[in-house]
Amino acid sequence: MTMRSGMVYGILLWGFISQALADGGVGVKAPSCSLSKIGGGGEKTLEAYQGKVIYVDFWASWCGPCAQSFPFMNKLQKELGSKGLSIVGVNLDEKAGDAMGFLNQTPAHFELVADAGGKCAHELGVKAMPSSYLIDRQGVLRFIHLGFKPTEAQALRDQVEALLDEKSPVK
Amino acid sequence: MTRLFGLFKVCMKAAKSGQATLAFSRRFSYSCNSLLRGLLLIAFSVVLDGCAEVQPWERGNLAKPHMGLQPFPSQAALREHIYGSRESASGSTASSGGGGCGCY
Amino acid sequence: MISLLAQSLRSLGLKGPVALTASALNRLRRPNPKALSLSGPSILSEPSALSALRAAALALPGLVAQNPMAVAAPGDILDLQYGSYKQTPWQLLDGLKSQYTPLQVDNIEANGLLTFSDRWKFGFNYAQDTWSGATPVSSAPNALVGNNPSAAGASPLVRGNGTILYDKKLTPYRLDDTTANYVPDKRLVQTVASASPEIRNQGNFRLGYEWDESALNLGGGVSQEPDYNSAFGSLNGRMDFNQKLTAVNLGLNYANSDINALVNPLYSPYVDQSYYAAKGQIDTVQNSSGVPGHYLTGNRQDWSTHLSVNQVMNKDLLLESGVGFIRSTGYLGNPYKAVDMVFVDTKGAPVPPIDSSSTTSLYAPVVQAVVERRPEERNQGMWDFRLVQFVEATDASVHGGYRFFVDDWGITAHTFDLDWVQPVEAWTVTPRFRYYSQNGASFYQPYFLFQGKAPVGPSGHFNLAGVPLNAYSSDYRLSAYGAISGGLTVARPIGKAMAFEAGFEYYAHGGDLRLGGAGQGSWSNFDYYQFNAAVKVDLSAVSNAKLSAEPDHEGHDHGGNHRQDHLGMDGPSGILFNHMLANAGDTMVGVRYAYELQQGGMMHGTSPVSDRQIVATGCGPTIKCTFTPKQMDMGMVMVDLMYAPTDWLTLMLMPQFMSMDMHLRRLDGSPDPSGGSHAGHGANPYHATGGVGDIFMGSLFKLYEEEGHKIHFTLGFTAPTGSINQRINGNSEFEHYGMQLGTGTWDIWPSLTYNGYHGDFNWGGQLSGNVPLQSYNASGFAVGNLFEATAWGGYQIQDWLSGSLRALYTHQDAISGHYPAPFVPSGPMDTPQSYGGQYLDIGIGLNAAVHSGDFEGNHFGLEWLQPAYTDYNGYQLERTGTLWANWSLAF
Repeated sequence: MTMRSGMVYGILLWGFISQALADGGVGVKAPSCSLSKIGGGGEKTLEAYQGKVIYVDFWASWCGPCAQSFPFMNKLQKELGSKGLSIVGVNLDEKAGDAMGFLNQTPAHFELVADAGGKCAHELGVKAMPSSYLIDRQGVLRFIHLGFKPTEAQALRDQVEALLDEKSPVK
Repeated sequence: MTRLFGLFKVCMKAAKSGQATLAFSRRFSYSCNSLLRGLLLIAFSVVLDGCAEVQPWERGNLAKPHMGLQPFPSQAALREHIYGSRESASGSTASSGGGGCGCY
Repeated sequence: MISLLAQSLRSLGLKGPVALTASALNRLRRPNPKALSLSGPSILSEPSALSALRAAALALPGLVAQNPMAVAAPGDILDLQYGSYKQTPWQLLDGLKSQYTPLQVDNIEANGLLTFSDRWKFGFNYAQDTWSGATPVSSAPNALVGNNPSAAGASPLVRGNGTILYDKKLTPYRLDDTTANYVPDKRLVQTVASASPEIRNQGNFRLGYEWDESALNLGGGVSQEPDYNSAFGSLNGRMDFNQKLTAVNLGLNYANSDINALVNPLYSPYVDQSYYAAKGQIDTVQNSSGVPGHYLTGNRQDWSTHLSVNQVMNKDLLLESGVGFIRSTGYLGNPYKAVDMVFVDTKGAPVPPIDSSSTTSLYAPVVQAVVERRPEERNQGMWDFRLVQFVEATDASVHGGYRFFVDDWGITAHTFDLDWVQPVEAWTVTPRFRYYSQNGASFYQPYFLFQGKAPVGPSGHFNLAGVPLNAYSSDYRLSAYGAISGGLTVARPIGKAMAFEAGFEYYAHGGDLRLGGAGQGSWSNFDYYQFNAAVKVDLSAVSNAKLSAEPDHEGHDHGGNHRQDHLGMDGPSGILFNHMLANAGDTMVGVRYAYELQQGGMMHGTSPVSDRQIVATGCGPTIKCTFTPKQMDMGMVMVDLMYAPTDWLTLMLMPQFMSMDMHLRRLDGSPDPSGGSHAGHGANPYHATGGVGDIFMGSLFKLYEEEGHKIHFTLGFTAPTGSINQRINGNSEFEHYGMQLGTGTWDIWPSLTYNGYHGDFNWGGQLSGNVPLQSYNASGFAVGNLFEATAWGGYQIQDWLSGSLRALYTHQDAISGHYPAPFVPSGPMDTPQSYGGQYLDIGIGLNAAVHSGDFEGNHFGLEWLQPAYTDYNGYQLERTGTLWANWSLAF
């Protein structure tokens, strides 16, 4: 291979890498996603949860790590719900039936909504499945997690608890 | 495309006429070298353009079990093992990663 | 990575067993890249979807997250597979088939992929191939009469029988039997020889680490068989780009293999081995009957690398393309193959014609068989392309691929394959099609014909150095041909986390199937069919199900209530059908291994017996025994699959795989064994058999249960899937009764089991019987009725460990019936009366169970059974003991 083609490949490779590293959104007021019930109907936006710490989790029936994350989120909702935590599981399945099948197998004890068109996912810039977005009581997006791994669950929990403990900032 | 096939033919003829003791790098003529480069460039360019932008949440179909590159891996391995012992060509370069749900 | 290397290595196959050539099938290291693929959840879409989606909708009410850390990652699997390969008999000529049993290979393998701390992946694979059957040594003109097709067991005449002649135009002439005239015959034929069964074992592992968008894996393993030992290692990495829409894989493999093959004594004296002898690669070993054995030794090294890119094109389409390169050096030949070199001196004197009116001058050639020789270097390159397209209309997917291969031996090959994977309700049905075409290697010829005098050395013997060739092979796998194959695979999930797969394929190799035609003639055609079945356990579904389960629902909380386990889970390893599954919907998979060893002296009844007595009376009133076993061992692998449709019924399926070997010795004072089945095998014959055994299927019924006690009844049958037609070394003599792989009959197997526990103690007892339902099998005999009674006691030493002590009484009748005539027993192991007896054994065992953490639900057991009292029927080799080991996972 000549130097020239080597450079071409190098540039292509760099292009891929830099695209993958792109990120953004943290520290900014979260967009007001419009969410509906699974199967359609009943619109709701994220602003409805103002004052609570919102844990927005984007999931789908075909996503393996999602099945692992549900028991963790169930536990989190049960234990921290009284402190003001609202876990919102946003389903991105194109067919509601798939989501119901998944829920039969892996039940969810937190609020479930749907975003079949992917509009909210697009607004929040979802880059991976599953993705969790932690929004504080002021509606500011604070943390984004790509994927779910059981060993990272404790770190996630610590972040949620920190957000719950925050007092309102002096404006 | 026809030019590509032409290059292939030259490559194959070179492969057939040469002697076994020639070193690999000399084995292939200049046309074969450029053929290889051409193939890699094609692979990369295919990757760059011609693909739709698929959002992470639109990978439902790709995540289906039968959409994996190898839906029955141990069976495939057994069959490749048998083919490899009955045929001269070596196994495929099937990669060990890619496609699927793209979950982290 | 390993697959690439394995394929390259085995491409021309080293083969066969000690006695002879056979496919390289068993030589190949089992690649199984998918099972050991450690590149993260993204590609292992099959198991991940399986875990979350494909389970039966067993609504588990409520949930409590017991320990969110104790999960297996999506993609963690455990896989047990059985495969069977059978070739159709070699076509010799005009529809005449070789009498030899064609090549067949049975293999079993277990592999698993486990995740530790979410990012460390560990994969392991173990495989065992047993193969037997005949394959070609070389090919030759039909006129050479190299085969003796009417008699299996005849030595292949690699130099012919001396009747071939050639005319001036170098057309071969055959001596026609009926007219006693010479007729032209241009046909070619394979020269086939048989081989004794051989077993290959392979183990390999993989360790990898996953980052978010990349992975690195390191792997290695070994493959062992009597004539071929190989060690290999690999390194590969993956990088994802574009939010995982693009992945690039790069791998590197290395293998180092040692060959040490006995050139088949049936033709070794007639095959020139001077090239390798001059290089010091021939070891001559005198075996015990004074016949020298030539071992061809060599070493080869294979380096390979590959780069592939796969890209998600749109929601429904995935493309992949890759290039690879392999460099092999060293001894790359097949020690069991030879070529025929024929020298026709048309300037010399023709032979006097039989028929004086014939005007054609015929010349007698010099025919010399030479061990094949391939170049010491091989460079191979390949490019492949795959696509996976989702078909919305039927929820199916189409998989297509093309591979281009080229090497510096002159071979180029094309492979096309197409699969249609169609889910049909719970099943997945996959028809598949494949087409392969290659042209021949530059040094391949069916045989090598020279015009001129054969080169001779000063002593007047054939001088290979005078032949102007640096490489020569008649291995049909290096010829030009095409192959078409088609098959079907079906798969279905069972229970929450288990799936069953089965596949079948028929393959036809044809010279005329080559792309563009002009392949080898139909004389080298063959067909094969293969069948495989596998059970897969999705470990992440197992752990997800546990996490979602209710803690106080009896039986589901394996973590806390280990007392529940005592009702059967931890019984001694050597007891079958020891426990039932407690709840409807439960499944269990397990593997049990038994190793039974007999060695030492010969016994009759309860006391030792002298060789003289065995010679005189061991083989019946008229025949004198000549051989007796000195060591026998039997390894049995049983796969336990259990499913409970209700809580009082458990269904069970237990396939078995056997491998047995026997070392024999001459009896002191015995007459000359020539003419018997062991003639020509020297003073210490060795036999091995292996393959699938009988398969058990049955039901377990709960009869009585209360706190601390449980009684259940098992009713099952064994189907005669184990071969009872094993022969010694391809010839027509039956193997010894004890070396057959099954009973050959449908047998009924009832048993009654009692389990009890209190505090730290547990105990139990079992009565069982095994009775053939037919008087004799297809080989003329039936095993004796078996009755067993056993009782045991166990103590919980630690939370996770318990020990057991038991006694086992066995009563087995002798074999009834016998092999059909003309079967001449050569020792007591060939007489039906020397089987069975009454035995009392004492067993001591240990059981371990994992109650929490990542591996909860796994149970292990180990037990040694020591003979305490034995009363043997007839003359048998002393029993040393039996080792049992088992693993099971309930979910």
